[in-house]
Amino acid sequence: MELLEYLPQVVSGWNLVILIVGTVVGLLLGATPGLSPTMAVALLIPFTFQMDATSGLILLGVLYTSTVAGGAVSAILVNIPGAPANIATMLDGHPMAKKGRANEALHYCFISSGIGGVIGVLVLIFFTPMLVGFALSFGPSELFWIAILGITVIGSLGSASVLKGLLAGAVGIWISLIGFNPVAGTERFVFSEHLQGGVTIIPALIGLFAIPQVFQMIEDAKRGLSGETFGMEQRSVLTSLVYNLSKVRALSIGSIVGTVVGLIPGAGGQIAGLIAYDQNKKFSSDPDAFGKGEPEGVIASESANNAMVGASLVPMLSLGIPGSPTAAVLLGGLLIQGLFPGPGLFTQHAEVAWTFMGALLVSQILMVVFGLYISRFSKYVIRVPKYYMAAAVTVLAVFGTYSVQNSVSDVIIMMVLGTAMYFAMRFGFSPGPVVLGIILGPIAETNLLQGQMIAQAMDGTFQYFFTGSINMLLIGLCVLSIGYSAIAELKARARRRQSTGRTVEIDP
Amino acid sequence: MNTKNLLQKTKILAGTLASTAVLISSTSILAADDFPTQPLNMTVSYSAGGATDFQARIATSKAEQYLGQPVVIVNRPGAGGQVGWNYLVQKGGKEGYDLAAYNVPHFIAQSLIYDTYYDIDNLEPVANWGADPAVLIVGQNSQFETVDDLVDYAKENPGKVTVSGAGLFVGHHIAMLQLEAAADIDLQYIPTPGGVDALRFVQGGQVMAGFNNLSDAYRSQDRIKILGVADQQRSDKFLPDVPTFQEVGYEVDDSSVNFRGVMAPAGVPEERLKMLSDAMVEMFNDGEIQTKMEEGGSPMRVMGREELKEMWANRQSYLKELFSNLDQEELEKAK
Amino acid sequence: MNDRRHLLTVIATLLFAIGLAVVSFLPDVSGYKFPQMIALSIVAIAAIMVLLALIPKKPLTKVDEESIPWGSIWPLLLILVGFLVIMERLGFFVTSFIAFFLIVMIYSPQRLGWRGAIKSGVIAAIFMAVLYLVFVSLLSVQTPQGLLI
Repeated sequence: MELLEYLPQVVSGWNLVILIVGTVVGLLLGATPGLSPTMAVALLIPFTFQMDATSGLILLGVLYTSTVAGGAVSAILVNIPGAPANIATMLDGHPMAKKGRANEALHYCFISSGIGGVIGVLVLIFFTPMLVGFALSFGPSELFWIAILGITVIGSLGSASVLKGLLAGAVGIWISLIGFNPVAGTERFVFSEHLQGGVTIIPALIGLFAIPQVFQMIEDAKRGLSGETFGMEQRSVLTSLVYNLSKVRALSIGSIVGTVVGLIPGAGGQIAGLIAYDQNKKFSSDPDAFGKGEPEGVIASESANNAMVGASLVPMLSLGIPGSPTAAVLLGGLLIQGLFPGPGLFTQHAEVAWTFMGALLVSQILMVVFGLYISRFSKYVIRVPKYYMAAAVTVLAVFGTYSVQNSVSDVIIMMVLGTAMYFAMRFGFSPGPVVLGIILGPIAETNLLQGQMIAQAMDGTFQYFFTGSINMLLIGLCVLSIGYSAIAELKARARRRQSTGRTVEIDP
Repeated sequence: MNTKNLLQKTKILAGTLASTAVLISSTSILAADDFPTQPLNMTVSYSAGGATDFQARIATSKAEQYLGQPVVIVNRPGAGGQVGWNYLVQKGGKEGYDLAAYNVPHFIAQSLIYDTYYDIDNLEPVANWGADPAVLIVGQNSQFETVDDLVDYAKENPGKVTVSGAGLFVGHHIAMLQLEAAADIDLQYIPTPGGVDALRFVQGGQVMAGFNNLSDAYRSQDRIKILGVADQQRSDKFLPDVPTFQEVGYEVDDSSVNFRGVMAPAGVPEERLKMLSDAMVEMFNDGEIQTKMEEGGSPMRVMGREELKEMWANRQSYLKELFSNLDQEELEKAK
Repeated sequence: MNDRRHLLTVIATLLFAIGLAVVSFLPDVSGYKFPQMIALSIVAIAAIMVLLALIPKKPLTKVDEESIPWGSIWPLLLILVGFLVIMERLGFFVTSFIAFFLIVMIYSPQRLGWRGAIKSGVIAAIFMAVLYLVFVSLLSVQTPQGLLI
């Protein structure tokens, strides 16, 4: 089997060095709040020029894997997700940390990432030919329903009020519509020049999560709480491993959802973690425990977003169609080397292709090893006084935002959104739904518009959007999702009514 | 908190660091004869990994050898290219160190239709590296084998043939409009945010046909059928068996070809522009660069400044006419 | 007290939603259907929240608003605004250094004397230096340039 044939080459000499360096660098970059995975991969493309095709690809692939996993560290420890994929991890990861279970959360994060990642790469290696047809069958109507499915998940995220969550999500969608739209062909809501490029995901993510955290940190510092917020407990990796492996349902849901979402081009792989988290919560016996430090939340989310990595390369390597923004950057890296995706890649450049996939597999294992090792140093990170942390995060936030598109407008948008979010959070709104809205808004609208245009030429809008097996399946999932949220909310209200009279909030 | 004290300390420390910073960053840009003395910044108005981006990176990879200084690519995506090009004319320096990669007809079309800061009068062409014609593609299992098949079907089913393309008023769209006019048919154009999506819809059968870049189609040719190329002559290197539209009887010329090259803001001294142009033409003709581009399936056509000025002017007048003829009807339909 | 705050919040939200809707319906061109739909949904949700808040004695929505500690946060707000304004004039690294330094000085709980200030300055400088070396020198990342770096 070709994979085994090329495996020794993967772990030899220069390639091994790249694997290790790439993993460590990726983990560190991902763990730094404000720096995003896509940016990290894009930054290193010029370096791959100097290397030969195989090594260059390995570097990019390894970075892709480890930055996604590294982002969870920042999510768990500082409540700032390193990438949109880590938002769901943060929902339960940070509460776990606050309860003194930070190490445990980190362990689950890396172990699940490894498991999900391996599954994703195995799918890439063994099932690519079969899945290509599947990946292609998602057209505008199917993608639109996926976006709607994502939107229905928004309401049930976190433990905040469902109405406020939905409102925040809708505002996020509206914000995403600012700027120039290539399908509609107009510029909308461009009140200031800075808005011409629209509100893009990374500046929004950084602004909405990092800036409120900065405010929180300085508030804590002012109140004299600037020391350790939580302790890092002693926790054996073996114990965590055993527990993690026992959570078969969370792992399976995570890996399957991650693989499927990664396969679908144009769905924006970033929502994999969120959908997995949500589905896992729905199937769990104790949904209320989620959002307060339930390990299954971390396990499902992290296994999903690493499974997505391997899966997103299926359409990329076979058709040249990237399944996620980072895969798109990888595609560029391939093309610069003069290789292009397609069956030819596996026949004429078999060495490159198989070594690359072998490297991806090995990198998952390395990522787990180094991730766990680096977690041991996180106890030093949380001992940093809050005011230093706040200063550092502010600078990194500006830096990370600017480096995405080299645009000062992005930085301004980031700060404005961030400050507004801080005030909104004081009034009970949370940033997660807003970011989701910003991610899903363009997907929903573009596919709706395109779908309408195609439907006009075919049998009509209703036919187009409401027929077809995949469409029906997705619509069914949306209905289930909405129904579930409604029932959950009614149950919660019934419970609240049973408790005495009014709920009294204690002013902090 | 002792504010006055704090202010004093801040001022002193900041002052010390500021002066150090001045020392670090003081390099003279205006050295007259030795141009260039610093690396050149090239803005690519699309995201990393896209066609323009990777072609730009390959084409300028040997800048140090031919220009004396490397070219640093800075991606400024957004608004279909407008963000990056607006940046060039608004913030670009006039000493010749700030350049951008252009896409014709994109930037000309945008300057005519939308409210942009740039237009053909405040930009100077430097050199052109690539010419990527639009090709008509259909899915592998499509009922169409030739351009005529599609035209006949469209005649019988007006407005029912869906054709994808990478956005509005780009080369693909123009090619489609030309075919519509030449064959007197009515097609339904489906714009997508990028070339990849347009290609994917054709492969997946979600649209019946599409116009796309020759380079992208070439790389995917075992998964699609390429029916025709919108150019003056066949692409011998890449698709020798695909006829041009003119050969099969439709008046579709090369106005939709996607030219890519380098430009500078107006105001850069003419000698510097000439120097850059000559050096870049040589660079684009370098054997290694040509090979790499070919391997990536990207057709090249190297042009210098004078030839380019003419080409730009031609495109400008063609597009002006095209848009005034279409005017309200097409523009509304496109929206 | 909390109920009143909650009521104010939801009413303010409704007004904001109406504002978005107005903005979405103003332009007379096509291509605004989707924003209009979304804006209307926001108004609908906000309206429901207001209704629920007005029904007395039934805490059907969670009451979770907190107060804003203006006293603590105004320096940070100023620093953020200042950052944006100054960044393009003085360059990213100098502005960041100043911001870093100020945040640390203003928000550390004890009074920092000369020693503390110098220590903060050094840490800030080291942080900037590492960023510069890794990203600008090594990876050729662009940063906003002004008069200085």
